[in-house]
Amino acid sequence: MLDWQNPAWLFSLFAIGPIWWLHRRALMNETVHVSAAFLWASTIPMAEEKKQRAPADSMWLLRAALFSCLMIALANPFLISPERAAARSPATVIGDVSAKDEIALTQLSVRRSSHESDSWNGNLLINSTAQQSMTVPLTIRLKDHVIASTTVQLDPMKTTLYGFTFPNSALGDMLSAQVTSPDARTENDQLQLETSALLPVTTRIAGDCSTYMHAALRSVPGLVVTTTPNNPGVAVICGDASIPVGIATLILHNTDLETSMIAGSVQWRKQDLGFSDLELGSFAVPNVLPQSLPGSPVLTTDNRTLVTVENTLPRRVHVWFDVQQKSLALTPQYPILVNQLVSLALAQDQSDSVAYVNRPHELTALTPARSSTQAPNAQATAQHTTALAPWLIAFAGLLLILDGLWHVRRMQRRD
Amino acid sequence: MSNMSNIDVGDLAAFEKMALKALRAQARSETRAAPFGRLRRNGMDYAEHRPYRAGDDIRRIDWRTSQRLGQTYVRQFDAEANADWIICLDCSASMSIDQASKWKLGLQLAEAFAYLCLITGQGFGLRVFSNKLDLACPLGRGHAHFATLVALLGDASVVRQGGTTHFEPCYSGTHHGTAFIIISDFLSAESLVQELDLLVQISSNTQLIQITSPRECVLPPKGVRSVQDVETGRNVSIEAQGAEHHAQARLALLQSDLLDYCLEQNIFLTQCQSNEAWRHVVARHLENVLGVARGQRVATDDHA
Repeated sequence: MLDWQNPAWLFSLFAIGPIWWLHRRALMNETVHVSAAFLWASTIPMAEEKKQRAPADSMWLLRAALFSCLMIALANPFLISPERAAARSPATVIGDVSAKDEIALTQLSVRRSSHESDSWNGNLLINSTAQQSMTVPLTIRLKDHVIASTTVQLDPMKTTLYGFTFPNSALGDMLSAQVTSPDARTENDQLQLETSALLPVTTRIAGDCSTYMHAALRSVPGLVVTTTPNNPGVAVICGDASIPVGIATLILHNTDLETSMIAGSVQWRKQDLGFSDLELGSFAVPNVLPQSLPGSPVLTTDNRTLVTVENTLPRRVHVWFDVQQKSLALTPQYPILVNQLVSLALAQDQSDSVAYVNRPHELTALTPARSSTQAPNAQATAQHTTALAPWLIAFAGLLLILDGLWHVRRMQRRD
Repeated sequence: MSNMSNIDVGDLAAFEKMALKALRAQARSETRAAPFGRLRRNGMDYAEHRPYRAGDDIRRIDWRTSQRLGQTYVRQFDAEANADWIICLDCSASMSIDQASKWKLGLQLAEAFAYLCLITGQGFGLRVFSNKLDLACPLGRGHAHFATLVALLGDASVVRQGGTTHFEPCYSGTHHGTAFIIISDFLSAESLVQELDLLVQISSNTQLIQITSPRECVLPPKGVRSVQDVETGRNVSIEAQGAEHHAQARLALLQSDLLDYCLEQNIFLTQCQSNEAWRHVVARHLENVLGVARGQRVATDDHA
């Protein structure tokens, strides 16, 4: 709330001392107890006397001056400290008072296309503080490959959205957007986004996985299914196959025990990936499960735990019922269930990956300086004042303490 | 002697010698003694004449003397002269001013007057009052009673704020003919005369000790813009120039008015300041009382 860069606040701070002194009458209106007040009955009625000002007291003037010095000394480091100057002022203050127009790229985001499986959609937000509309050239590159090169029409004092598309094959490198504008700050004209996090995860399938499982895994957008053990991102183990170490793993345990059918009423315990609302139809679950299941429960029904996850890195997800059973695999929600289990193992949602980068608004706001030479002077003053501030504070504080002690002693003597 | 005494034992012994010497001198010089001017006597011997007061028994009016002097006089006897004295000490907040110097002197005076009653064989009691009775010691005689009174004085404390001075707690519940010694600063915006009138009517003898502080009308060097009455809480703004002089003049006028009233009412009044020694105050009061009584006696004889 308090902003010492605001002149009004600074002036108010400075004015406290003088106001204190100007109101000395109330503070100086010391009352002395006497035996009989009627002996002191004044010829001036109390109401009229109140209008009169007390004579100036040099001690109160000194106190007010000390208070003002103390406050200013305390405020200066907040006002124009070198740290703040380095953190804020050079980034926001421009020397040319006429250059108020600024074009800034404020956000660059990439998301998988919803209707073309082999392409990605990108969005770019361009903010303009110019007072009139203008056209700027825009170039978007993925590494050295130019994705788009065009001109963008920018409305005055508005943010413009520019959308673009690029193929899946080009993913994995640095995506950069750049406009060419004659404004004050060139660092606002470019944004870069790392897209390697959006690359599809290689999924290795091991064991006796059904065709339903294969099909479901292939339907997950961010997965590439393979059966070769070449540096996979996640492994799906069906049955008793060996469990790999060091990668995220989805383990579908053999459940050849006696089962019984259940319908609905499953409960998802894991909320962080946001798939708690997935309803499952009727499917068979084993009547008896091992006594101690590793990890914490994710999916439960009727006091039986069907899915658990070990919260280690990388994660291991255990499925304790036949997730490949036909009655379940033929339901529409089956691919979603498989997607969620893989996402749980990878600790990130594979169905809709979004990558983005933002530029904070305060880095794009402009504060023109009064003159082109004032900024360095202000910084020099700040350094000089800040060096004196501790001494000023100590001196003023010491004087105020001495004055307070003297005042208390005088009051005690008076009593 | 009680350890809580406000007076040093040595001082009290010296005071006894001084008081007895004065009283014996008075007894030798006068056939009939005045208040305090009497050593132990018993019986109903005639003591003196005094003006008639409301409530006096009309059988004691000396009609012949009254006709001769043109004013109604009553006879007073030994039993009355050896009256019971109630020592009234004001503990209102005004006594606490100037580091309670008035209160401290008042405590010493109360004890001294009680001791004076003790050595003259008269009954004495104590009432510490403000606008109510704060502490009371019933009438009694002897050293044990004196020790009790001194102990009570040790327990007494002055009111720090509030508690205006009213004499009604002094005489409330006392019998007719009781004598009173009132120790107070008699500083009150309200008129104390009416209450003193009532006191005089029911008492056989009334004596006042007015204690004021030499710093009563002195203010700190600067910075003071108003004063507050410790008793009433009333605030009064003061003028920058001449405020102390003005207050001093009003205080002197108040003391003068009280003195005039006491002369008119045959009340013995001694005015003192809180920085005086209690022995000097008591001696001055005795001198005042004995001197006035002697003068009054002579005047009566002249009239006769």
